[in-house]
Amino acid sequence: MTAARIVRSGVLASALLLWATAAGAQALEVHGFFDIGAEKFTAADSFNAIFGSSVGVVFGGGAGVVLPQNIFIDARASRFKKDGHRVFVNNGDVFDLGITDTVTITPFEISAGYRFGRTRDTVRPYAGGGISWYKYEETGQFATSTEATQNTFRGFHLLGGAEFRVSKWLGVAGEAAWATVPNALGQEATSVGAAFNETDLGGATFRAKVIIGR
Amino acid sequence: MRLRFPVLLLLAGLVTWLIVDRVQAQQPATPPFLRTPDQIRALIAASANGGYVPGETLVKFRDGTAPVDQTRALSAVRRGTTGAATRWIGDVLLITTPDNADAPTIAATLAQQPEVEWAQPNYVRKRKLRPNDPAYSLQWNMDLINLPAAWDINHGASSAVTVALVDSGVNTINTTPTFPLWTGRAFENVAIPFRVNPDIAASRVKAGRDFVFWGGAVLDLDGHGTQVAGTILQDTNNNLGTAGVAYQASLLPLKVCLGYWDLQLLLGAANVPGFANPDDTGCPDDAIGQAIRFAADSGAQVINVSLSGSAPSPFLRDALNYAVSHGSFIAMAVGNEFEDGNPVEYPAAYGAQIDGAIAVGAVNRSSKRAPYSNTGSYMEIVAPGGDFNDGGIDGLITQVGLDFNDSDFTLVTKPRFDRYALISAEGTSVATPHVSGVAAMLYAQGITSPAAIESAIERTATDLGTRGRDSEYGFGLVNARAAVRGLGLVK
Repeated sequence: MTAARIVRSGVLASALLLWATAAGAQALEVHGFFDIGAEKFTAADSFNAIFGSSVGVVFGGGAGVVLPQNIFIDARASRFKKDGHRVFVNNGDVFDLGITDTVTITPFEISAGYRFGRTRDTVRPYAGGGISWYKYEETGQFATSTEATQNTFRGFHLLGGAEFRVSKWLGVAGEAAWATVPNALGQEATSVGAAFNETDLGGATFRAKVIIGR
Repeated sequence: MRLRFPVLLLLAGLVTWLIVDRVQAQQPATPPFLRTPDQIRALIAASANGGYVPGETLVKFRDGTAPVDQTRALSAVRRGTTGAATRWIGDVLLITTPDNADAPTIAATLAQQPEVEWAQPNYVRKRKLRPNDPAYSLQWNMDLINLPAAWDINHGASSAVTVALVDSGVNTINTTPTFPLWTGRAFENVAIPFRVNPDIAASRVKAGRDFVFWGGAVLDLDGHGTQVAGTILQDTNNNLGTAGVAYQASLLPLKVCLGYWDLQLLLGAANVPGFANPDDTGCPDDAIGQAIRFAADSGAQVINVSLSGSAPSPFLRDALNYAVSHGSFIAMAVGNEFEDGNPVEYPAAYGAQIDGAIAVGAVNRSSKRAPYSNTGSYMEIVAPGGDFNDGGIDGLITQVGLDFNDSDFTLVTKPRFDRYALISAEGTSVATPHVSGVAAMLYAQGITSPAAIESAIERTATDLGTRGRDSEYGFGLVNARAAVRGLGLVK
């Protein structure tokens, strides 16, 4: 994600914040959170070929606010990093070339949604969606600077979950999310995605969150 | 938690202040420093993985930029440079961030600042294996298919990979047999010396089989097979002669061709006086077909067939299918008759119908189709074949081969096959072994299916001519580096 995009996202979030505040609220509920989850990537064959699995562990964290209208706005960054092997694929047969391939995906997400129930409720379901920028890096053994790649892909996501209040300042949540990041894989002749006709870098995630604040 | 909005703004300002970088430009007098152990580890990691040294960025300010303006420019970098170390290298500033911040992003941001002339990550250059073979400088063909970079990944296959050479043979032993030979006036018992190629390790040459001349050891009385074998797997980086593509692979020489001297010796053995007709030389289908099947049965992973003719041959087609079904990949020359009517040539023409067998054409050093190289819908890939019209003798394919002066029947009546020299040649015959060599490397890299080998070579080829597959270049010029590197997730 470029700096300009980050700035634009920040401006957008700030504008929403100001709008909500100007709409009559005098106070906001602020929270931070961190999470760990497992993502099942949509491009299952491609991830399987490179990593031997289409599921990966993702760590994340972020912060957000809940407006008095029960609308929440969250910003979240996460990270997936894994070593696999470069391959060749022919008619679905995968040949491991034994060349280490390291992929780092760092999604930055802006989400907005609605939190059901009232502040004093112990359990509060929520649902929402938003826009994502996936910073993508791929390098590996023998890769030259022109062969290693860095790119940013834009996608969208939907999420839903339920928050359980452990105390006034601490909560935990279980959250499911689905993201689509189209046209990321399979665009280059050397992308395994082309062999499987897979282009989406997104996937379905279930994560556990620890929330500090309200 | 309920906070009033002004308090939030205050907090936001505090956080912003905390994360803004505070890198200060150092004065040029800063003494050089050695990298810390962590930095050395990072450098080693970068060397192993390619790319750049994590967290290091080189910045060149415009002439006359004051230190305060340098600091302002550096302040444009918002991430990862807090606490950064800096070091002047001449008039270039090396920034090392402690958290290995993203160097390309930092460099790109800095490069946009008006005070900065340029900025770049501290890239790690990769060495490319340049063989020390004295005549390697003549082998433009190796660079044309990106072999030095491929050798960085795959060191010329391995001895476990066998390439069968269906050709005029190579000398597999040092010997000096005596043959009755017509020398112009009478038969003489002539001792003809043979010597193995000093630029191919004997340990990598299997005994092979002679399907046309005799039941003894395989010998090359023509030179064609020796030349082709050289391109496939001649010793490389051995301070001798020239390099070969798959320079660690094993060779299975299968003699299927009768050259002029083979005929002459056969005539002598039959007490037929006179000289052989050079037009009677050639490679019969029965020998070629047997050799292809023998290669497959012997476990050869790659078969090179630098032979062709215009007559279809179901016998050869079946032999190709047999070999591929037994795990052998086959590379075949499309022929050199473009300027003689461009006939469809076999067995290469069968390549388009068989996954695992490939038809190979020739390009010159300018990556243009060589004028002799046949074209047609069966063309699948091209490789360097040389072209005298494009660079003279330097435009040909050079290998250590049998010295043609010793066996030129217009010059000698008593040949010898024990002296080697740098031999330059052109043709689809010498293009094909490039593909065979790359195929051997792919086997060693882990692609064990003939169809997958063909697919890898075709999909990673450098497209030439009309976009996509065409009848002149097929899928394009074989690209050894791209082929052995294979596929990543995105690139």
